[in-house]
Amino acid sequence: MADENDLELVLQCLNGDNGAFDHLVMRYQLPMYRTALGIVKDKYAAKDIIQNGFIKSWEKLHTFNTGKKFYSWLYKIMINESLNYLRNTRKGEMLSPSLQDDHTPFQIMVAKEESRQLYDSMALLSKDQRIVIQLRHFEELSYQEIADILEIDEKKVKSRLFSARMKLRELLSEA
Amino acid sequence: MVLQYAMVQYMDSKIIKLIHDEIDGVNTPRESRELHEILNSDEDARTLYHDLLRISDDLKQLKSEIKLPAPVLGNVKEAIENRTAIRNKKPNNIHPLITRVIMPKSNILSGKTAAVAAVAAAVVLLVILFTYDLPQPQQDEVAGTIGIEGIERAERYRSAQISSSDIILENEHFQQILQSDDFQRLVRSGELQELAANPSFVNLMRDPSVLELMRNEHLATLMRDPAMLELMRSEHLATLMRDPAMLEFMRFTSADPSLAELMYSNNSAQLMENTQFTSLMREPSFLVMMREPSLVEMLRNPSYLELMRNETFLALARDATFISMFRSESNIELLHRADVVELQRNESLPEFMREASFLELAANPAFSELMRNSTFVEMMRMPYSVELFRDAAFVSLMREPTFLVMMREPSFVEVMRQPFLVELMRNPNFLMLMRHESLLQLMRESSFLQLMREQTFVSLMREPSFLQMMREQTFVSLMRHSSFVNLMREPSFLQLMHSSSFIELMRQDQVHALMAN
Repeated sequence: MADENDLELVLQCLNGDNGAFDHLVMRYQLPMYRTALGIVKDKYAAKDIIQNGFIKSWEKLHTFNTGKKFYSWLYKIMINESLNYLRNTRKGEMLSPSLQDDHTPFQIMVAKEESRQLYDSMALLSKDQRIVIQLRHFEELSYQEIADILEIDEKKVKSRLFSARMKLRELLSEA
Repeated sequence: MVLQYAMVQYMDSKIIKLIHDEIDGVNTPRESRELHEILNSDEDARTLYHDLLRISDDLKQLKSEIKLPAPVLGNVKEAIENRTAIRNKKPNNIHPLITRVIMPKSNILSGKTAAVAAVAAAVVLLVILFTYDLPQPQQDEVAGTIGIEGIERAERYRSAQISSSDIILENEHFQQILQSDDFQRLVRSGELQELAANPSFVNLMRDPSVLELMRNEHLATLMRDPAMLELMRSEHLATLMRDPAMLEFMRFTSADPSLAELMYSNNSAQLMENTQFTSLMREPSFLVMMREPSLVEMLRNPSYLELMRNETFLALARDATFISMFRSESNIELLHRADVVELQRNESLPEFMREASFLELAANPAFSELMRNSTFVEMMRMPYSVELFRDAAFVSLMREPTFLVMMREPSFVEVMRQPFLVELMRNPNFLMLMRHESLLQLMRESSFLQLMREQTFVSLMREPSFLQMMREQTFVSLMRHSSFVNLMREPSFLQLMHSSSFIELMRQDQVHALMAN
C-alpha cells in the first residue's frame, strides 16, 4: 500500500489544494471499492459508498492525525460507511448466495468458476470474518494495520483471520 | 475448487498457528524451518498448509478480477468544488442576522471552548430564525446564503431587517443565551461562520422535523450543555437526526422534562457518540423499550447508564426476551424495591452487570423471579457472590429450572451465604452434582443443610469420590436419614469417609440398610 507521499498530498489539501485530493481518490478508489463491495455485496451501492466516503474524508481531513497512515484512516471511514449502509438497508447479512439470483452483478463480473465459488464462500462468512480476509488478502495490510482500522487488538485480528480461513476451507471442501 | 479437507480437530494448535503465520509471511526463519520439518512428517498438517496456501493464491486472483464499475473521481471532484465554493463565501454563508451581530473582530478564543460556544449560539440563533416568525433581512444580504441547495430557503427570508430587541422579547431562554459570556465570546471568535457553512449542520437545521423538535423548550435549553453541543456538530448526529425513528425518540424523550434532562445530559451525549448505541436507537424494539417507565427510571442510575455503553448490553437490548423484562409490571415493581435499588449501589455489582454472563442471566425470566427473593438479593450484595456469579459454570447452573427452584428456598439461600459454600460451588464437580434432582431434594432437608455448615463436611464434599457417591440415589436416600446425618457430624466418621475404600464400602446396599437402621 503506497503511503510515501500520502501525507504530502493531505497537507496540500489542507492548504486548499483540492487537486491533491484527486490524486488520493485515484490512488485509493479501487482498494476502497473492493472493501466496500466485500461488505455490502452490491457493486452500485459500493460505488456510492466510496463516493460518499471520499467526500466525507475530504470534509473531515482536518481531523486526520498526520502521525498515522492516511489509508488506514480512509479504510476506517469506508468500512463504517459500508456497515451503516448494511444497518440502514438490512441487506447483506440476510443474503445467502444459494438464494441469490445467479446473475447478480458480481457473479457476472466474476467470470471464472473458481473465483465465483470462492466469492460465494466468502459471502457465507460472518461480516467480521469477511472484512479481515479482505483487508489481509486483498489489501495486504498487516495485522497491526487491520487492528488499527477495526479498533480491535492484534490477537483478535489473528483469531478472526485464522477462523475465517478455516471456515473458507471447510466451505470450499463442501462445494 | 476441491480441497483435501484434512481433519484438524486433533491437530496441535501450535502447528495450526505456524501454518497461518507462514501463509501471512510473519514466521521467523527458525519458525519456517520448524514448520517445514513438521510438514515433511505430518500429512494432515501438509494438507492444511497446501489448502490454505491455495485459498490465499485464489484470493489474490479474485482481487485482480474486481474492477471499479465507473470512476468515482468526477462525482467526488464536483461535490468538493461545490463545498469549496460554499466555504469561500464564508461571510455571506450565514444569515445576515448572524453576520450583522457577529462580525469577527478578533480571534481571542480557540479550541474546544470556542467551538462549543459557537455551536451553542449557532443552534440558538438558527432555532430562533427557523422556528419563530421574526422579521427577515433584506434581499441583497441573503444572496447565495445557505448551502448549495439553499436558494429556496434564501427566498423565504427576503424581508425587513430585525433588531436584537425582537429576539429578546421572544423568548427568555434565548435572551439569557444571547447575553451569556459564551455568546459574547462567540461574537468575537468568528467560528460561527464556519458552523453556518457546515452543510450537514445547516441542512439539519432546515429539516422540518428537526425544527419542530427544536421548538421544544426543554430541548432548546438542554442544547446549551457543552457535551450535547459538541455532539450536535458531528455529521454522525446530523445523519442520525434525519432518521424518523430517531426524531420520534427525541420527541418523546424531550417531551418529559426529567427524561429530557436524563437523555441529553453529559453522560448521554457521550453515549450517543457510541455508534453501536445510536444504531440500536434506530431499532423499533429498542424505541418501544425506551418508552417503558421502568427503564427510564433505571437510567437515572449512573451505573445503568454506564451499562448502556457496554457492547454485550447493546447486543442484548436487541433481544425481544430481554426487552420484555421491562414491560412486566412485576419487574417495574422489582426495580423500585428498596433492596434492589440498594443492590445497584454495590461497588462490585455494576462492573459485574457489564459482563456477558450477567446480562444473559438477566434475560432469563426465572432469574428475575429469583430476584424477588429478598434473601437472594441480599446474597447478591456480598462480594464473594459476585465472584460466584462470574463463574461461567455457576451461571450455566443457574439456568437450570431445578436449581432456580431450589434457590427460592430461604434455607438454601441462607446456606449459600456461607463463604465456604460459595467456594465449594465453584468446584465444577459439585456444580455437576447440583444438577441432580435427588441432591437438590436432599439440600432442602434442614438437617442436611445444617451438616453443610460443617467445615469438615464441606471439605469431604470436595473429594471427587464422595461427590461421585452423592450422585447415587441410594446414598442420597441414606443421607436423608437424620441419624445418618448426625453420624456424619462426627469428625471421626467424616475422617473415615475421606477414605476411598470406605466410600466403596458405602456403595453396598447392605451397608446402606445397616446404616439406615
